[in-house]
Amino acid sequence: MGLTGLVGAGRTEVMESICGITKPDAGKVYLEGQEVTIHKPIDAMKQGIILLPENRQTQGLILSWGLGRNVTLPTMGKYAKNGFNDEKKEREISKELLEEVDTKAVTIFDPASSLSGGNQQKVVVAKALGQEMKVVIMDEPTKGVDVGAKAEIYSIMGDLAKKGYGIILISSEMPEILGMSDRIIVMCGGKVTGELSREEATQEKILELAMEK
Amino acid sequence: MSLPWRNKDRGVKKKMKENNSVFKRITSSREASMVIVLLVLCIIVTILSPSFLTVKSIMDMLKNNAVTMIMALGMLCVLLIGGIDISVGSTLAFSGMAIGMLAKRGIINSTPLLILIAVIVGTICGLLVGLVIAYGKVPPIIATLGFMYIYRAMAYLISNSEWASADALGDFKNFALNKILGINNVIWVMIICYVIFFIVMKWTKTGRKIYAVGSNREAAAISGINTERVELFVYTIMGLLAGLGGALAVSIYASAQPNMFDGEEMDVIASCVLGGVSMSGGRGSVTGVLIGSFLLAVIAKALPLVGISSIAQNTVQGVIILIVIVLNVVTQRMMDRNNLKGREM
Amino acid sequence: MAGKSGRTISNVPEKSWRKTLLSWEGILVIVFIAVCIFCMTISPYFTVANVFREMPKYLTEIFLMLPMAYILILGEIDISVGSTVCLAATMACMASNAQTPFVVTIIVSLLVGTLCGLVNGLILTNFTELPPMIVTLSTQIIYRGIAEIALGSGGSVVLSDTAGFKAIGQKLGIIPYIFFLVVILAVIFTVILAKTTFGRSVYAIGSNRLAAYYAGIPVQKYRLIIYTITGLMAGLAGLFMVSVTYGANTTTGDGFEMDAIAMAVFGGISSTGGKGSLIGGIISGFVIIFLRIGLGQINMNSQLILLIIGVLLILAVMLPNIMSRIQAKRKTASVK
Repeated sequence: MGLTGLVGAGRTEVMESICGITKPDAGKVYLEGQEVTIHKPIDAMKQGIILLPENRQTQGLILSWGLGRNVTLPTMGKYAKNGFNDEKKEREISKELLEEVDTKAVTIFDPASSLSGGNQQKVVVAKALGQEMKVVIMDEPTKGVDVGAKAEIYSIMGDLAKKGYGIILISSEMPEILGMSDRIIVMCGGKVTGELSREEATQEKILELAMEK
Repeated sequence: MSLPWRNKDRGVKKKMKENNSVFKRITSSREASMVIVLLVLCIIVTILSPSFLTVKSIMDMLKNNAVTMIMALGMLCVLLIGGIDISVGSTLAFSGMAIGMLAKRGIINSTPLLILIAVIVGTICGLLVGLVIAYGKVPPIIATLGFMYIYRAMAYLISNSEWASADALGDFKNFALNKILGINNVIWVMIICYVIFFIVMKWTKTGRKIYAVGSNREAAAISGINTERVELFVYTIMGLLAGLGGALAVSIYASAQPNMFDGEEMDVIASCVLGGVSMSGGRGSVTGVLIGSFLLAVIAKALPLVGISSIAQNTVQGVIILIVIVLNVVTQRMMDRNNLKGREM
Repeated sequence: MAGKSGRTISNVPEKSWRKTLLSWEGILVIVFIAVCIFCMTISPYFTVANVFREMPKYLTEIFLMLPMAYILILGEIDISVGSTVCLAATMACMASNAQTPFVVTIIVSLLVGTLCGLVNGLILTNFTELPPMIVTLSTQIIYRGIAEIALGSGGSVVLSDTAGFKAIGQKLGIIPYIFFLVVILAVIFTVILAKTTFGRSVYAIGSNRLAAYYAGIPVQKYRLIIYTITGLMAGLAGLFMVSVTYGANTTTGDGFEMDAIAMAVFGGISSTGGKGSLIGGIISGFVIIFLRIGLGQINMNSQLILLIIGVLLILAVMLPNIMSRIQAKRKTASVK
């Protein structure tokens, strides 16, 4: 599902409320037909709702850390015995995940700050892949990413969709939204203004919905 | 010929003007609400102790708090750029002891020269602090924590832990007793300082630069402001005022002791906090500091009247500061929420 | 399972003797040995037995350094610990003088400390806009102020019955009990920081609080725990202070926060957060303690000792900064 609108429409805010990052004023979240209560980020992660944040450098990665530690940050507890880190297991898993998304790096100890924008985004994707996922929310994943890496990210998204994961793509780029989405929801001024299916969606219709008052 | 989008612009401009006047009222209201609190407090104190509202009593209060009030101006600038300086008490003690010893040993007896030396000593102390923070990139709390002990130790060492008592100080102690035009010298110094700082902070480039660095350091640097130099300047001025404070304190209390002003740096910070200066920088004014210092002085006067012993005064002041900063946060949150709601509509 | 391009990434960590020796901790060990030699040359009293005899007073500061390291790695600071020690020590003396059983005295001291830390933590985690420096500056005044009120006009209290405190001040051979306690706690704190998910989370919060939050780490809960434990350790320190001085007064614990921070910062813990290990902190803790004992033995002015530590503290933070800037300039120069 593509979620679009003009910048400032409130798309990130809505998704962050769903993921427990900010407190919503009102509303409920339903996953697979059941209502779920989410108060903090870990609640959403436990339900399988994984967020790839809008700003990969300040929200998605710890730039001074190595790639491996970044990838296993949300799942440290999974590989720990009695609270003690299992560093060997973590190194294996992070190597696997980073290779799966084709990260261009030499070792898993390379600092995240040394990677290009596209590769940094791949690390964020690898981080998500390491968790139990049902729905993946990607907020502007190709912002500031070069063309080659963009294509690789699109193909990763395609693979995930084929495997049956739900994907919500937040994007302001028309070609991206029109090309990747099965259905598109448009927001404006903090409200949903319309929904379009892949067949009926055109740039003009989206813009019209995005600027409705 | 009116183009359709021109009308829209006019509408937006009109809305912005209205918001500005409301906005201005909200920002200045911090000082305004502090003034109201001050007035209420003064009224309460006068009721409990009618002698409070006499000219003599107010002059005395001003004289006794002059040192804190003057140093609060320096602290204002330090807090505005997002820093802090807890070494000011030690700088004051060091400069005060320096001139105390010079007077005691009879080396220098001229009052203006002694004041000048204290100011120079303080300025050098502040300069060192500024160099370490601005160019050594040491976090202010660590740097001033270290210097607090360094300068205090130096105060003890240059005096060999001795005091300079009243008779040793000779003519110098008369400075705090003399008056010009019926107003004490010390109060004159304070008035001059406040006037200078008011003008500089409001109307000069330097003052503007300080606010800029405090509000957003990166943006200030990109705009061409030499943030390190501003930082150095601010801490040097703080040291200068601490040196001046040292000279005044020695004169007011007619003695120089190595443990002068020990722990009273908190009073200086409190005056700023009560005056609406933001801890994270960028917000605060000279008028605010003036009101805050008055507030602190009146509270100190009021506490004994309400039956709080002098031992407990420190604690009460600490609690008051805590309450004030928490209230600031709470009111800021409410304001943000209101602004956000306004935006959606 | 390699990706589409078949590219592989190495996950074998690099270990070299050279790196370990030249690391901050390695240099510290060298400094420690140098300080020992220095003290032995300037003071004939610097023997193993004497050092252990004078250690207890300073060992209490290591109790404070252990949790302070966590706080510094978080990128925050707590300058109220000295006052917490004062308050806990005062309350312990009063409890003891009120003829309560010694166990109660211990509990009082620990409880008072924990409460002080809890208050700090609650304020900081509920009003995250407030800088820790200002909050702990205020509580520093408040806690010492409460102690002052409790101590009254005399300003000090003396133990009437020293039996209980004498007991905890005992030695096993020449090594005082407190030393063993310090070692045990040091090991616990170090291992937790270096090897557990909690420890890793502390580093994460200190490096990038936002990213840690987005990754599901309960940032505020961990901060609260750390500040509370800091208070608990301060209560413990207060207890042992009384066993050394058999009393408490308004200046008890004065300057402890600077020592704790200095020990941690010398130990390589960055004051801006996210970096450093406790091993360095412990080594540098003993460096400072030995320096203090040695310089004290030759009757150096106590103020001068404070001055030296203040200078060392600033240099410990400033020199690495300047060095890395010189290195960076050299790199860009060589590129040109």
